[in-house]
Amino acid sequence: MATVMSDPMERAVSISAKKILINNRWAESDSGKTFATLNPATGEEICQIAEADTADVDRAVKAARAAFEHGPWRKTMASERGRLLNRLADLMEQHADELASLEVLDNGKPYTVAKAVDVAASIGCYRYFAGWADKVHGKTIPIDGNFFCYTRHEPVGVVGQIIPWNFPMLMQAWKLAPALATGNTVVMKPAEQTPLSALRVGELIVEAGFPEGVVNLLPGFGETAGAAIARHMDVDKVAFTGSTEVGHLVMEAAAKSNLKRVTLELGGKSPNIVFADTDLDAAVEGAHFGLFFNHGQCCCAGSRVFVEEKIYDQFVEKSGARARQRAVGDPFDPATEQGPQVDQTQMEKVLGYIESGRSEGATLVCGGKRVGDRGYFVQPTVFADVHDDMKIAREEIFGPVMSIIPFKTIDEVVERSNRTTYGLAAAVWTRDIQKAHSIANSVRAGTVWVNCYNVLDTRAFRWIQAVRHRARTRGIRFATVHGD
Amino acid sequence: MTTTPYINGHMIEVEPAAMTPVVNPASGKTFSKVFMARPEHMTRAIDAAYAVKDVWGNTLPSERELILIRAADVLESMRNEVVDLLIEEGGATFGKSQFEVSFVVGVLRSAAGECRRIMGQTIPSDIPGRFSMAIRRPLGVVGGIAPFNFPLILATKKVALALAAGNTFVLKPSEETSLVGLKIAEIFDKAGLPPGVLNVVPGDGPTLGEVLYSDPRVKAILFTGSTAVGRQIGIECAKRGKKFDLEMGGKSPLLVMKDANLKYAVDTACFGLFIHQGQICMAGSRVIVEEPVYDKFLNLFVEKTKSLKVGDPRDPHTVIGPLIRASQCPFIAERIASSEAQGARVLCGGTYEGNYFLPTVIADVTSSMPVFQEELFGPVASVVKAKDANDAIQLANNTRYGLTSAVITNDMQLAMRCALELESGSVHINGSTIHDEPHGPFSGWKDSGMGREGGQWSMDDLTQLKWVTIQQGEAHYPF
Repeated sequence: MATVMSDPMERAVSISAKKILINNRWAESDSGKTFATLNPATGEEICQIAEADTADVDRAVKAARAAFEHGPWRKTMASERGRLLNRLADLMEQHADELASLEVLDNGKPYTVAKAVDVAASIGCYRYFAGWADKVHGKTIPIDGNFFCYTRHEPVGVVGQIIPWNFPMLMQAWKLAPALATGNTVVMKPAEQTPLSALRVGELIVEAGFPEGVVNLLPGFGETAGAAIARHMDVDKVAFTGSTEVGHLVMEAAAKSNLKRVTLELGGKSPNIVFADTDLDAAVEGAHFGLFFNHGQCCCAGSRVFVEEKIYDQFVEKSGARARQRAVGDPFDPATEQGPQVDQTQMEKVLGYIESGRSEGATLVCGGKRVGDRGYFVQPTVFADVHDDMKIAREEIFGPVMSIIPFKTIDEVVERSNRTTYGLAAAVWTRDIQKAHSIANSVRAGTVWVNCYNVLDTRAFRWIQAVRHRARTRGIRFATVHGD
Repeated sequence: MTTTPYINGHMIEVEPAAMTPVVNPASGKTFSKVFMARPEHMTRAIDAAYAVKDVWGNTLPSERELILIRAADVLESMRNEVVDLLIEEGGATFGKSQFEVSFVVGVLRSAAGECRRIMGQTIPSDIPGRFSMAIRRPLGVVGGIAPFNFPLILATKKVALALAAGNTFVLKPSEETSLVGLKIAEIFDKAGLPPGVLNVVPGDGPTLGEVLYSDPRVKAILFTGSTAVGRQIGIECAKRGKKFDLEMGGKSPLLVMKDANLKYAVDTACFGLFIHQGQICMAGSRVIVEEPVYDKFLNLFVEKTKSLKVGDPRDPHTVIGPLIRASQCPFIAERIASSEAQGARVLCGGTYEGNYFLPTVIADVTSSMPVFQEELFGPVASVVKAKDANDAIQLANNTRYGLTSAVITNDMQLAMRCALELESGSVHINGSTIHDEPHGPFSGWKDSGMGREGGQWSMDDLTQLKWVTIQQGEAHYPF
């Protein structure tokens, strides 16, 4: 492993937004409480953030409801909603460096990635949904008899949104952009680990000219502010991205309160299937990227790498070599590929899984330890000889831990891929169009990538994910085939 | 100012002596010059568009999106300059020019939003193991021929949607508004559009149009203009297996039903006819009024029409500016005279001075008269008495045209009946016959058009669908 630790692991960036945003005004929490947000590269506090709780959620929902029912938002022309989203995208472009720095400071991902992926894709997402604003078509329906029948797509109303810490700004964009394009008002809780970029974007939302009460931001914790949103009687819909465990709680709260609509984007244990006929180096690199990207903190991480027996040893060797080269260190250093895990809890959880892999008899090819004693860095770790029943092959680790598992035949690998409670993503590496489509059509996952990984696009992924928990029965799937 | 053809990212250089003067239709004074291109320039423009069609067709949707958004920003920043040119070259009033610029900003933004929505489909195949899908590909080089009346809107709509779909473009603006056409090139140039993707070639319509539709490298022609010319272009395109979209003339009816709020009906009639002196394909040039309210409507209509300010288009209060050509005036006057001979009554206007035609209301018009049947493209309202609603609908449909129509009524049954029975591409209830939005499905029926313009409907027309199937395993053949 190449380690490029150097001090200091922070960059001077002024932080202006630390409070709760309601009605386009920044306020302390009702309780006056605050919480610390930490720099995961150092473990040190960055600043204190106002901590929203039930009373603040109530205020925010009232503001969002008033904005939805009586504010100018309902009368805002669709094209104007698109215009505002484009203006927000313009402002984010102007502040791209600052936003990337905030994301790095709070989340620990490499600056190069934050800039090229998180900031750029967030801007792209706002622009994409800006284009949808005036194109949300209902239908006219020829029904029998002397009747005229039509449908219109109307906004849902007040939408609660609870976003995760792994792609804070991008997940904010994925949630906000479509909700605003279609004319809803929003009460959003950013993750307690990473509130900074979401709040800064909140300032830009105000600057862009969104009316009062349309976007309300409530930094705080899941058990308090998040739960208050999920069970609120005046929230029409709740959208949550995060763990499957919390997803269950959100759905339960929604069902027990006002049967609000629910969209859940939850965990995964995605199979990445490598056939012997593939371009081996491309598959090794693709699998490496598919798992280690964002330090393994991706819901769609390819955490079960199934490799055809004929090339298994070679694949393990090359994957180990590649992981050993992965540059871990200061996220602000342009050479860094991997920064720290987001917090101590996550680091300890990941180290716990590594321990269980060892004790259950998997072969540790490389990594396996914490890096240094400051911040939450974990070595890129590769396990070989992993069996389907081991904990590391069944549970979502959300860290830089790759499990490589051998297989013999296509039928067998399909059956084993599907033997999981998850169904988020999958990938296949092969030169054979027969195998590619066979996997695409038989692995039960919302997204199937062919000769590529993590091709995440608001146009497709989001749509599939919105129906993810129904995708299995409805058989909706999405395949991406990479050109070369 | 761009005054010569814009080809492959540059204004071509020409001898100053070869330039033609451009005359302000209001003042009759020359204010600029323009080079009217020759056939070889049109060919060079097609060469340029053809050379980059694959590169442009394969740009990322978000790159095309960004250029279109930037073009909207550029146009906004050039608003005063463009408004000025619309007044100076096209004789448009200040208000109409402002409206036109705002509308085009919307067109560009809306088209930007189409770039990433060009979706195909997957289709359940009935053959075991067959995977079936449809994908959309750009056409390649698209040619556009635009009119003088809304020179910025009707050209930019074609350009923006074609570029959004991944096509390259050759635009032939109206010879009356060449500079506005070249202004569009300037806007896209400033927005960072790569050379060759858009080329603008001003010049004589028949000459350059023939080069454009005859060239096999041009895959579609988008035309807005008269029915006579549109028909001809359609025939020429059909002969060559080329796609075409024709937006042509109209004689659009406004139906005023007996329950109508007459003040609103008069306001609607005035806006729908007198904006830009009636030089709009959608102009509500036939006002069909139900008998019980006919006399009262006429009085109010004449009263308001007489109050409309005629004069200098730069004056923000002016409603009626000059017609594009003085020769339009005697043509219109002749049609009015022959209708009068058949019993029509001119209640106001009916005369002209230079290229200013006074706003005119003609009463007691019947379906056999020229002012009922012919598109006059001037500020002339033909008011027709209808016995009842059935008669009104029948009168409305008694024309070769079918562009738009409008109805003023709050009677829901009647409104829905009109929506279904009026033979036109659009029906606007309690609105004017003039209504367009960038993302609406605009099209003419009957002699008013073929094809459609706007939003996803343009994207369907401006791409070609390809069916792709993949057989898993081996298919079973009978022999």
